[in-house]
Amino acid sequence: MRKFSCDEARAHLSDALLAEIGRPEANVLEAHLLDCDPCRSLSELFLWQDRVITELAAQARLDTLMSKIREGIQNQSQVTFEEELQQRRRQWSWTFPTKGVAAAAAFILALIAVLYWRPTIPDPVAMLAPTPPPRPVEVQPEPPVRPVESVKPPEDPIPAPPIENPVQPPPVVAVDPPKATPDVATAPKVPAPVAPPKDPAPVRTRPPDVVAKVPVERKDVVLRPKTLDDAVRGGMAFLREQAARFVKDRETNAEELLLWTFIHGGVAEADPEFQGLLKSILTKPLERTYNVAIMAMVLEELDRVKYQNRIAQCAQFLVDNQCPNGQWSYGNPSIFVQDINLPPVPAKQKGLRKVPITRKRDGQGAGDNSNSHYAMLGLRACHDAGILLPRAVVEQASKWWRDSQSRTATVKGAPSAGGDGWCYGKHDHKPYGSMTVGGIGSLIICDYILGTDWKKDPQVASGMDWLAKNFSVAYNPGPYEHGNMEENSQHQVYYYLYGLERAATLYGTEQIGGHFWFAKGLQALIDAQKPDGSWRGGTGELKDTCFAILFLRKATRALVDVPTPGAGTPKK
Amino acid sequence: MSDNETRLLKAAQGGDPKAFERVLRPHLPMLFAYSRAICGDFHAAEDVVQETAQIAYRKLNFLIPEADFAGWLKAIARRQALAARRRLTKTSLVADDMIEKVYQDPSPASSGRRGEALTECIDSLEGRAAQAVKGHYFDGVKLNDLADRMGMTSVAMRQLLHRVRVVLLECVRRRLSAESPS
Repeated sequence: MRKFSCDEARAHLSDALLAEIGRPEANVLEAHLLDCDPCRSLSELFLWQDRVITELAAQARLDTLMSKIREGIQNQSQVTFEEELQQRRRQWSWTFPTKGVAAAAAFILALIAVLYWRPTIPDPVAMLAPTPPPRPVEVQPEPPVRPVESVKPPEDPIPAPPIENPVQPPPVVAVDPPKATPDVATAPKVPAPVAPPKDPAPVRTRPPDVVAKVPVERKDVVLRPKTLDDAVRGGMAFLREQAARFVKDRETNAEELLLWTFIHGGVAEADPEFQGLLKSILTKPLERTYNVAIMAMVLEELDRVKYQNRIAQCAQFLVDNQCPNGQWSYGNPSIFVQDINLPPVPAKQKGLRKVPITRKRDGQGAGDNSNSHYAMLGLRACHDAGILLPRAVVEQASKWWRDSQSRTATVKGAPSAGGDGWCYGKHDHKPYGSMTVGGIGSLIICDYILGTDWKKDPQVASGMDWLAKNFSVAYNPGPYEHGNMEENSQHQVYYYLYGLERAATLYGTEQIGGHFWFAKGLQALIDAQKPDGSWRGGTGELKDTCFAILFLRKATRALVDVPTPGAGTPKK
Repeated sequence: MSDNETRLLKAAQGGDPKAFERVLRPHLPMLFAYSRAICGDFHAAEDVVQETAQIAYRKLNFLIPEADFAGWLKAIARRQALAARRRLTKTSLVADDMIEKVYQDPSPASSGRRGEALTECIDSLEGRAAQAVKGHYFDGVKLNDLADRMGMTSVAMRQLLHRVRVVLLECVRRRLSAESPS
């Protein structure tokens, strides 16, 4: 698992207290704080500082706060015991018949099960054969470390009882002063992603046959359920073992995807394989849309200041490869990329340098929605890295996504009741999952770059409705057009799942249609992982494993700049 | 609970809103800071405090005389703040048990010598550090807006606030060690 050094943890601690930390970093930080007493003490001190300053701030606004509260309670009446009792009785009288019916149904089902159950006589030959365990599990003598964060019950915990033993503020402890932070003008957006692990050798989960051969008494061992970290560790071990194939195989040609997964999967930046991939993508010619888009994402994540020149080249490629209809195809090299050669950042430069890009040529006539939505991810990374994209490019892309959304509504222009999705192009057939998640993410990115609120965008909402209605983590919902229109196909299911993670994170929701998408996706991925740590869903085991890990690590950075409805506006 | 608080609570339970305001007022700064620590947003924390006050007023008859009023308020605020955090889709800031530990004592955190030292250190901040603290903590300006206003990137703003935390920590330590007998 990815780990922080104390310096990294302390740098992230402030971000955490500012609520400016991503989920993956928060998880790693939490794990660090569990183990590191000095950092834990420091976080308590920071929290206490925040408490003091915030209380002082509230003290200064006390009259304003009080007047709002006065308005709030003006028309309130207090509830008496009798009223509360009556209300509960009313609730009980409504719920009682439902509960009674449910109990009766359960009883009848149980009765049927008893009447019709016939014990199956086991095959004695089969019984003699060794039974392989159904799922790869690790035999762990120690108790589980930490439950998976994302499958915590979503409900509020019961209110804490009143505290009886107040204690003093946390004592000052001897902590090493954090190192001086780097110059803000040249500071990377994201610090080095990981500290070198103690044991750099990839950790493999024990294959199931090995587990089966271990003569253990089951009553003496604790079978630890597989966790998110186990799944990621297994997947990363598989990828690292296969990395050479990934790089050499011209067909897969996805070094950028591998590096993107390395970043999120916890491989240290100093790792020789990491460095090899980085060196390769920094020097290779820009030829293909997928590769260039993910390259921009990788470099922006690593250090958008240091790699701004290369990111600007990616932007030029993407802008020059936009098709006249607003889509992107697989792409062709643009000679104008070589014209991008930014001078070194001036010493007095404050903040991120803004680099304008202009369109020098058009891409081919039409493209596809798969390349197009990856191009949008790349453009988002360029935008975040200070590249000023031509507005017309984003508007044209936005127009394409809007025009190509399926329209099943009976009233022209109105969103349909079940929502509208996307397919691979602008065809007459039904939408499906992997393209719809791409379409939603792309429209959100367009809105984000153009400065509009995607939560008020009816076409984004319509896409989310489609996703809610057809929600699945087990298959790629809808008719898969590259597989004889097979409904709810397994084709590209992990490609779809990573798209689902992006759509939900970019939109900013933990639930889709009432489904906690991450918890469900996590369980589905844990269940589907192969004994060698890979996932296989029709896109090739290497890419599928990357997509699965990217989902598990929630690789998408949320768009934090846009307000959530209802938040940030004080009550009048 | 002091006699005065008990007396005011009794009056508030009898339907006197003014008594409720008086008994609530001393706890508001702690409630606000606690809510902000959980939900991670200045304005949402204000809403949480208002909602908490309304719920507490409506359900005041359920508070038994021996109960800890501040603890009861905190329990209500906690539920509201967690709901706000979910609405805002904020990542959990720090482990909840750490927040509980720091907010265990409901009396004002600025009381006591350490709190006073920190208050003095905050007052001694100058320039961009003072601007950042005022904007972020006192005015509730969103980080990106504050960065724009001060001509910085949001990353630089986060780093500045981190440095301010460290500076304040050192300042408090210096002041306390200067006072303690060697």
